[in-house]
Amino acid sequence: MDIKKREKNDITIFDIGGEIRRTDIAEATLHELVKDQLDLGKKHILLNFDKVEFIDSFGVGEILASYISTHNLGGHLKIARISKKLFLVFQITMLTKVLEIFDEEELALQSFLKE
Amino acid sequence: MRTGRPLQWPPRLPGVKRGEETPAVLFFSLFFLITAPFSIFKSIRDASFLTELGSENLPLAYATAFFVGLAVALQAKLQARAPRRVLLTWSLVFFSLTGAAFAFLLQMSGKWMALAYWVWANILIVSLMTQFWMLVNDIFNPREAKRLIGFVGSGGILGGIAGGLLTGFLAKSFPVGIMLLGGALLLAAIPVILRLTGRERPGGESRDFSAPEAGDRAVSMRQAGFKSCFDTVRRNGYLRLLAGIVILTGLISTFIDWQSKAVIEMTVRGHLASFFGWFNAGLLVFSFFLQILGTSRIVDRHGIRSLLLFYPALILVFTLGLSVWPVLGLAVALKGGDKSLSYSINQSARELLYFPIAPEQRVRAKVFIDMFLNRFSRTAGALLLLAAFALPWPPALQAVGILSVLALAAWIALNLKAASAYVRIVKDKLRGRWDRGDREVETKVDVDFAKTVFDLLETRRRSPVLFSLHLYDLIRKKKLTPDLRAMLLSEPGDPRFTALGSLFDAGAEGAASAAGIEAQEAALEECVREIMELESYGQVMEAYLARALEGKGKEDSVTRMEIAKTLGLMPPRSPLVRRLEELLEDESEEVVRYALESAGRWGRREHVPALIRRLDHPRLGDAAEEALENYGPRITGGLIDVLLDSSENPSVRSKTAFLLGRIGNQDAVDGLWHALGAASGKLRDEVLDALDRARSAGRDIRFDRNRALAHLAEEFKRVYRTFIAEAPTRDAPMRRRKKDDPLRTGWAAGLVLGVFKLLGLAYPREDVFKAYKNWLSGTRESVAYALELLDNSLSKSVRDRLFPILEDYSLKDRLRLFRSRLKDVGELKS
Repeated sequence: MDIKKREKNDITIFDIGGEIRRTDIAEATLHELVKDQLDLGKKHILLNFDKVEFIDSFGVGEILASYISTHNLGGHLKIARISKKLFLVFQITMLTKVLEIFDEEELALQSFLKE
Repeated sequence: MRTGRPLQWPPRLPGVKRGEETPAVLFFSLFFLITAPFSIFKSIRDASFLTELGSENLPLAYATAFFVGLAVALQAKLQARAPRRVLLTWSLVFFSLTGAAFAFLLQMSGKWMALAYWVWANILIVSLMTQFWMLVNDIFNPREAKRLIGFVGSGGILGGIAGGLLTGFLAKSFPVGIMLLGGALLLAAIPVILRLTGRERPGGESRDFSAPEAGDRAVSMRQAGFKSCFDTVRRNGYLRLLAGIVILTGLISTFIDWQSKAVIEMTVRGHLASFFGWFNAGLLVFSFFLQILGTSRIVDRHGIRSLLLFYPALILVFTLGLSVWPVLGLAVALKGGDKSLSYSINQSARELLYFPIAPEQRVRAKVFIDMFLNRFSRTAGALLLLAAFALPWPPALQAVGILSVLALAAWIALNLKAASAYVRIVKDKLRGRWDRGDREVETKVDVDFAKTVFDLLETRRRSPVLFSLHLYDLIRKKKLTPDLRAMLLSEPGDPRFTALGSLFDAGAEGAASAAGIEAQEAALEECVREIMELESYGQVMEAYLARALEGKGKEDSVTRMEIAKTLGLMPPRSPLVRRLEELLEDESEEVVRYALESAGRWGRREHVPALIRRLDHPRLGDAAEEALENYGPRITGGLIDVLLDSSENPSVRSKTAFLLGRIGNQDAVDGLWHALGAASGKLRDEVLDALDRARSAGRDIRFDRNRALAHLAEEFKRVYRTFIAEAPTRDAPMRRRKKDDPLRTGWAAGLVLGVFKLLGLAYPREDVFKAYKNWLSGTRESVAYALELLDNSLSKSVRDRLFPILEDYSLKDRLRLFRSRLKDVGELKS
């Protein structure tokens, strides 16, 4: 897994690449990275999955844990450009009802601005 | 003033139903006219042989059966080429002319003429008898035959009596030639009757519904030579059994004939032809009464097995008696018993054994068995006797008696085997097995799959989440078929389906391989399961459900449907499932339907009351039923409590009966029995149906036969009472066609089905419903075989009450029968 951080209009964007799986844990997990940002007072998080090739349940768990942490602090965590396969999984698990998922990063950023 | 019943015309003939009188009388007359002259010929045959050649030469006469066998082989060839009636007519002409010739030849006297006449008389009886019974076999089905065989057979016996009496009276005053001419004239009169039988009952080649087309049959019949007749018997176990019986019958008959004639020759002084005339007449009088009073009763009361055992058992007693005490009385009793029983009971039993065999096979078998083997066995018996006579110490009566006893023991064993085989063949003759409609739907249609597909398609525009959930459901159940997948992928413009497409990697290269798709599906299933097991997922969803289901922010019904569906997919022990309770009480029926489905998957006891409450809901009842069914045997006790609770809604009780039938374990069945006793009306029907359903599942469950018979007695009363009360207004005047029988397809058909369901609980269900299916078809042959199977499977007390319902009767006759049966339904015996 390869995670790069950037910021735009007070929104922290994590560009995630590669495979997010239990057997391939990086030095810092996605949740830890998000928590770091939350600790810094950055409560608008966007996860960009454009380069993600594979994600397993562990990866989904990381997303959910990040969502909970953000939500508990009154922040917002949004997702952009997830694969169709992951979208289907999110639909089956009803996570599409909880998570805000956007086809494009730009649309996600705009939604942050509206809030 | 006249009282009592008006006279009926035509009068009732024993065992003959309305509409069958004319063919019955014609065949009665035909048989009469065959046996009357034969009785004359036979008395003259025995007398002239004993006078000219003596009893010590009888084995020689028996051995001439070989020539009879040759004649039979010739007849078999002719039989294959000529229609039955034509051959019989020409045979009659032949025997009539040759009989007239013997009227002159026999007066010339001479030892060899007596032997030639013996052979001729034997050929005559074998030929005419075989052809007559073949004609009967062709024209009547087993049910008709069982009814008519007693009456038609008695015609033959009466003919024999008449011929015997004529000989007895006239032999002392008239020369043999005159009596032979009289017999020949009687034979010449038969073709007229034969012609009339053709008008009344056409056919005479075949009648079987399973027989091949007429053209094929004709070709096949032409090939019915001796070899093919032999092969037919050789290849068929049942026919081999019949062949064995006939061989033993012939052997025993030969031994008995010699034993009795030896004693008669020693003891009778005076005119032998006259003695044999009286003797033949006397034994046939006995046969006649046995036929009229005994045969049908034995068949009716005890079935074919008893009929087959009665004859050998009685002969065994007389044989042992004569061996110990060789007097004229016992000789007459033995010979008389053998002949009279062979004409009546044994002949009837043997003919009945042939009925379930396919017509072509039957013709060939009869040619070989009745015509050839029958003769062969007598020749074999004669050769055994001749061999014994060649010994330095000729056989005593006792030695032949011992031989007879041994043969009789073997005969009894074969008869028992034949009786069992007969029932098996009748069963095989019946078409197909009967499956309950619901079971048939279950086996042929995957209802669960169909429902999920419909839900999937129904939600495709309504909710992407529900759509995905249904899709996942199909994947989970391994039911996402290639066809369905292709159909779903055929809408690439829709984002929901592109997600699906990516799942199956259906890119530019086209569809992925089946193995690849299977792997993808398995991965998806595992992934979803793992996500749902995540603690974080539980937390997120907990918060979401609280928001979606409570307070002012309560989401729309589609969302609640999604939640209800998702809860059913949650892993075991998920705390989220407690939310189902409120969804089961939701105001939206659609939400409740999904909640019911999920509750069924979970099978939690706390949901049962809510599910039972929904059972009588017009639109949710089925879903509640299905959900409860998924609980399986764990809720048997609870369902029985509801079923037996008379204060409960009848519709709910009916559904619990249905569910208990589906569960079908011993507790459920016992509960249903208990409920059947107390239930009435529609609830009773439902309970009975549930018992039938449990029975049809074929599990190892004990069904109390006596209990079933007790209920069956009540069911008979119900059918009789309802019919008596309603049929006169519903069905009179009886203008409907036969196929509109109210008991078969009309307004009372449901009542009859109830009877069969109870029968199926008391007797082997598959046999009972096989018979039901064939009876229901209403064709003459199917009904006949159906009744034949029931006749051989049910107890007499049950048959007596059932058959008035199943047999074809006019409304008037049926009402009369039902009224009389209603008075004495009593207790049914198993």
